[in-house]
Amino acid sequence: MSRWLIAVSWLVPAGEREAWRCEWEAEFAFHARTHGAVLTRQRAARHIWAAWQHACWLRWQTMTVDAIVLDMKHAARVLSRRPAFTLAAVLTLALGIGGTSVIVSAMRAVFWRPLPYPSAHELVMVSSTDKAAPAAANANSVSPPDFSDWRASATSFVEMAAIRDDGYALPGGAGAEQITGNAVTGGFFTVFNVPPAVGRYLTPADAELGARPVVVLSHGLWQRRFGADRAIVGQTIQLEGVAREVVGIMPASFNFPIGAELWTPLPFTTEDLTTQRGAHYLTVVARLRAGVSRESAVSEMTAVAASVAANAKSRGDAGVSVAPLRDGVVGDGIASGMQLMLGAVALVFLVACVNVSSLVLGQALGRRRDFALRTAIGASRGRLVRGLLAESILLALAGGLFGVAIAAFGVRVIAALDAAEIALLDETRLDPVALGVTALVTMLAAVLFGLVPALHASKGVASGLASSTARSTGDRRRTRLRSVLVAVEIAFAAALLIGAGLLARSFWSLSKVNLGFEPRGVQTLSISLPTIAYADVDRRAAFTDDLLARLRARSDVTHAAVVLGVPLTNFSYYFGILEKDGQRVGADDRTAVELRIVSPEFFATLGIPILRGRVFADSDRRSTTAVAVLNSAAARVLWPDSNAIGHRVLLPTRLWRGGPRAGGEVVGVVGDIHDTGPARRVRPTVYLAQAQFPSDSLTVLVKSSAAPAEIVPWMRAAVGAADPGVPMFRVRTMDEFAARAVAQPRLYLVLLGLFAATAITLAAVGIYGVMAQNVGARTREIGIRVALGATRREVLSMVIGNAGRMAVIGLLTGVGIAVLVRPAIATLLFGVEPIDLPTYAVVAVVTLIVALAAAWLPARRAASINPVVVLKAD
Amino acid sequence: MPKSLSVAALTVLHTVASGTGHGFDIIDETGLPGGTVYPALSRLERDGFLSSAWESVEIARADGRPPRRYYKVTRTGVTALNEALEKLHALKPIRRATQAPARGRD
Repeated sequence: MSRWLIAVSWLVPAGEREAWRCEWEAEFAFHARTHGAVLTRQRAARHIWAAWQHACWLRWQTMTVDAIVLDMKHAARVLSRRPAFTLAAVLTLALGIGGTSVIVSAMRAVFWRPLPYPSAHELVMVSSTDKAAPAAANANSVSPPDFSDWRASATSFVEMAAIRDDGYALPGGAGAEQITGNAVTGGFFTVFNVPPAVGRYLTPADAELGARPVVVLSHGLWQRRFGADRAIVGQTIQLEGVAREVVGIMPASFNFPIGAELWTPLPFTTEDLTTQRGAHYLTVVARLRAGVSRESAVSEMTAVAASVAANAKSRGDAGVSVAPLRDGVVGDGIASGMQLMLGAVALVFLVACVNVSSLVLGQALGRRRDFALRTAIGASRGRLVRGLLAESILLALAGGLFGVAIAAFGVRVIAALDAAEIALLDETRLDPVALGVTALVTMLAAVLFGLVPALHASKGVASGLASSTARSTGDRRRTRLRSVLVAVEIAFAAALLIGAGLLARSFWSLSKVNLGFEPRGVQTLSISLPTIAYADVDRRAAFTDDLLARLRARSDVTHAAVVLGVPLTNFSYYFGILEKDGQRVGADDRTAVELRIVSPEFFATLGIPILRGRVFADSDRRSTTAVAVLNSAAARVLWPDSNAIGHRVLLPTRLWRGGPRAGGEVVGVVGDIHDTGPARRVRPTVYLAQAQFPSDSLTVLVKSSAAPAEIVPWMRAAVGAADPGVPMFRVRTMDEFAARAVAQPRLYLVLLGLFAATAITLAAVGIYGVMAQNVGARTREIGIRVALGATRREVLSMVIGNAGRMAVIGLLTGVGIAVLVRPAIATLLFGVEPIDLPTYAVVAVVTLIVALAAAWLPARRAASINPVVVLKAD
Repeated sequence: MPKSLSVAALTVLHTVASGTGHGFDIIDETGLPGGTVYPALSRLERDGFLSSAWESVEIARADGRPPRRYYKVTRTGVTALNEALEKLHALKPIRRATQAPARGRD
């Protein structure tokens, strides 16, 4: 307690300090005696707080504007006389504050901040969880009849809306541009409850059949393509050949679904609502009624979905999920990566704090003589401390200012980075709380480490003046403290370098992975054949043939195909093998295989090599023997010892009621493809022919040299010509799917690389600072050594050896940290172990080189010390 | 002439004038936070309303603790206190909340 009082008493102006100390000590002592037993912790804390406030008040009374301005002026003069130190400290502060704020802001945007809609906690995503619907990726999993029935019966929601992912060709100056847009049901904007920036949004009346075609534009599209002209509202634009009136423009903050640039109404025909129960292509969002919990909505929706399914008599295991909108948007797998980034940035932040502390500490040590002199000619200790405090505050202000600039810039970079691949990342805004907290902590570090040595330094007045070169042991200790700080910096920097190195190795192995197919130049568009109209599977096959023939009619189309299960889309449709060559497989040995249904040109479209036998031909029909194509992995696992061709394979599923079991005679083996991303294992896959097992849920693939904006309308026209009643959705290029598959690793690599570079730079600055100070302090000693016959080389190696020791200790600690935290990074690695010797070796070499390079200049200076000059100066 | 006293300062002054002279005791008696009481004491002393002295060393030593600082009201302090109290007493209590006259929207 009393030690604490003495510390606080330094705040009290010197004239009143003694009295203040006595008064409080006596009060505490008296109370400890009289109330000893009842002096609660809380009461004591209140009294301590009162003492602190009293001290502050007394100090405040003595402060005048003039005195503060004078202090600041003096501080500015002192700092400008040491430009290298000032620059290093300001940059360190700026990097620490800026970098940390950027990452924390990004984390907040993706995970913590409520979505930018009113009462965002009420927003949910409703999805079917029906295993029988193979084409259903999680987010696109509701069919129009289900949606319509759910919306009619559920009472938990204010409004429920369906979204069809879509793309539109918008004609413009330099040819049509392919725009990501969405068709939405009438309640969509009611769900989000965001007012339009200009005009109005879509209403249920717009989504009625036969209503005038209208469109709502996003803020981005409005700015980019229409020059932010308000007069566009009310005008008509051409979209996919349909003239649509622009009725409104959404504000910039409205971005749902992520990346959508326009919204058109989505009407359902009677046929949509009666025959398409199996057509799962809608994303459904809803707003919970006030006071209704998500749990109760889940239980209501489960009952509703079950009764809807029972009425429709279509499916047995219709389930439903009601997830918070953010979960539906962000998806899983990102959290661990972002947490690692947060940990990394925390390390950078610590390095920055340590570095600035070490800089300020060294600075204060170097000025002992200055302090001593000023004390001797009458400056009070309080004055010295105030001067130092003013310097720290100036440094902190400058660093903070630059930090805000870096943060503002970094946030823009982050928001622009891979915006399409990590949902909500583009919503990153500068977070004032993050900025404030990091700024405060960094500045505290600067002030603390500046003040403590100043207090000590100003104590030893006499010794400081006695000789400029005689160093007390206390001085040694503080120099050693600085060395420890620098070693800590090196440790953190090395740990970050190891992390970045591992991610780089991992990314390298990832990019070396041959996907097994060529995504370039392939445009995709998904379709869903109406259930009743296409109940006859031969019609499905006929439709496919007709469609493919139409698609091939274009001269720049080299290949066209349909597939159930586009690679790289998280599609999964797997079964345990039921029979091999007519023999039942025991329940335990049923190898799981993926099933894909494709048209003959699928392999050519994606450039998948045929390894043995043949792929499907147009002559493989329902009337001919069922055939199957295996990928190499399936052939290996099913018939490891012999050629798979000629064997028969059967899966336990029938693709339509009353149809044959899926499977057939193996006629060919094709190359493996990494269809779930380069980091995932290749799955054994059985391909069946669309002509023999016609699927009603398909994605059309076209390989062409034409631009998407040209080829997509062509594909739409072809689908429309084959059957105008077939809904189309999810227009994407294969390249987009492929880019998405490696977007996260790339982002993590870039970020961690930046952090590691920052940390090692800061560490280098730290090493340079401490070595320069060491050499400065030992000038006399080195002079004597040289006078006694030490060679230049010996002096050089002495200084370098010093730095080397620091670097080695830091490095070993860093390696220790990396080994300790390896589980955190292991999940992000591909093709490299968390303890990877080459990476560790490279990091060790890099760290040592940087350390020695940073020590080189001070070492050179030491080596060039002229003993005559030094010793004469004394 | 010193500035008029705040209610907190007046309370502290009154407590000291009533015979409670030690900081912690004043905190306990007034219920005011220590961060208010101590600055008020320092300010009142500076303005000459209070004077402070240290407890005799014998008493403190007999009790086994350092001597406490105690505050006493000065003559000026008593005058100022009484003037302020009279001013306060001149204010008549309000029985009932009177309604503010309705104003049109402008």
